[in-house]
Amino acid sequence: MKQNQNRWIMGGAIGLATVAVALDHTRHKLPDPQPGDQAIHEQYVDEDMAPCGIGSGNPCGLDVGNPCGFDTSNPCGFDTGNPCGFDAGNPCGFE
Amino acid sequence: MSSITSNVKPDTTVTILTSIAIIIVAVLLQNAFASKQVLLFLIGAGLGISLYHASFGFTGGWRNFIRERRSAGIRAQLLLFAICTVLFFPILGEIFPQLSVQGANAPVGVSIMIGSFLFGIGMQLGGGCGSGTLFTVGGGHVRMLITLCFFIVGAFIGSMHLHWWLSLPSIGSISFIQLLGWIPALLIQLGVLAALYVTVIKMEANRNKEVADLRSNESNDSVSAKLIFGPWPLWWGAISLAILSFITLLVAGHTWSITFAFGLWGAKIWDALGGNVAALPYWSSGYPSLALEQSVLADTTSLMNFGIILGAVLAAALAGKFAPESKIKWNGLVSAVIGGLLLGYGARLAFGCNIGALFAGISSGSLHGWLWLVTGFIGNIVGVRFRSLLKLD
Repeated sequence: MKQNQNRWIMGGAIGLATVAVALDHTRHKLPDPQPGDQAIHEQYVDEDMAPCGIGSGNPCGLDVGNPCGFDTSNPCGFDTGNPCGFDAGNPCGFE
Repeated sequence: MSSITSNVKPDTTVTILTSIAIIIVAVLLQNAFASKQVLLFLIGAGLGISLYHASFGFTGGWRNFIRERRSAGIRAQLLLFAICTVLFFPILGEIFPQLSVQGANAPVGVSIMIGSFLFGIGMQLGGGCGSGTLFTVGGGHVRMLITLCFFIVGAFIGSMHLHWWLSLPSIGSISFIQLLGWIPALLIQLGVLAALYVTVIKMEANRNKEVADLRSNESNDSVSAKLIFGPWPLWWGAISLAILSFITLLVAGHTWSITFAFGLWGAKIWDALGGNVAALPYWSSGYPSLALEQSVLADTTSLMNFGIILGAVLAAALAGKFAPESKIKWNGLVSAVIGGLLLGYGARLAFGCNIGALFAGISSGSLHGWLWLVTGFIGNIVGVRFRSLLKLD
């Protein structure tokens, strides 16, 4: 295939992926926003206390207060049923 | 100072479009989420640039060693592992207790052995590993786009079967940091990596009478020109990947991983087509279920993958090599399909790819990373044989 043809294929693929991501993003809920100063304060506290990482979206931080340290007995280990653990592919350590 | 464009003609259109795309995505992420997501996306872009400019692939490096005992690629990987061992072990050993990060630890068992073996075959047939597939797709290689599509399919199918594989024998996860303490574990691991480094050098010298220098580079441009337009020597790649991986650990709270996102994309596509993904055990609990419910942009692994692809597009455009001419023959097409499926399925069984399980596992002092190395390498030997049978070379 010629370079120009390849460029169009790649451009089309990236464009298609962008549309797919946009569709997915709009059909799924975002984390609830927290308005006002209290929210900022809470966010600050959460980030400070989040046991595994800096903030929202961290799969190890689902349960603020759970110790996501290195200990295998913690919820980021691989106990079945815990929110951070067992399931392989969890970015919280299993992959 | 010499001209920074002495030997390179950048693809200006693609460079500008990609730069704009990266800025727009970063702004959208800042609005929809938080600075953390922006940072991880930009780290991904940095990884993509590093991978592309240094041509830092595991697949080619391993193939060169298996066939010709050329060890430059493997030595660069060992250097990467060693730097990350030094950076990761103290943090994972909790020298800063307030800093909560999670290393990559996974059970050592049949699942990982079979998975990494299949992944190894897939590397050689598909023409790339986890990181390699992403950065070559970003570079505009159409055949790798086919590999990526089937990588996604394979990862999703693997997630359907994972519970059965996990029922097979396993001895659980073994962390050398927990077992020995981080300082002895660090010293032992550095010793093992150094021994491997010396061994592959000796093997290369025995076969080829000379040993390639990691600092060698085909370009005679200035440092600043090489930094922007490439190509980079392998050791630059190892250092930049190590630093960006370390920043990922600190920012995300977990190690760099790639292939979870592929399974997630497959699950979301299946869901959009009317499939009942939520009924599958893997996707019905824990983080996978949460990731399925949320926007794909909320998943840090996906975000970083998008960043890697865009970073590689930018690097390829700067190098004037975006979307090179190519011929896809029937054997290349078949191997891309089979290789992609094996890569995806194998990565799911093996708790990750060459990045999420091999690199992150070893950098975290986990035995599963070392097991992945052994069985994945054996898979590569088999894969190289298959390449010959399919006349891919």
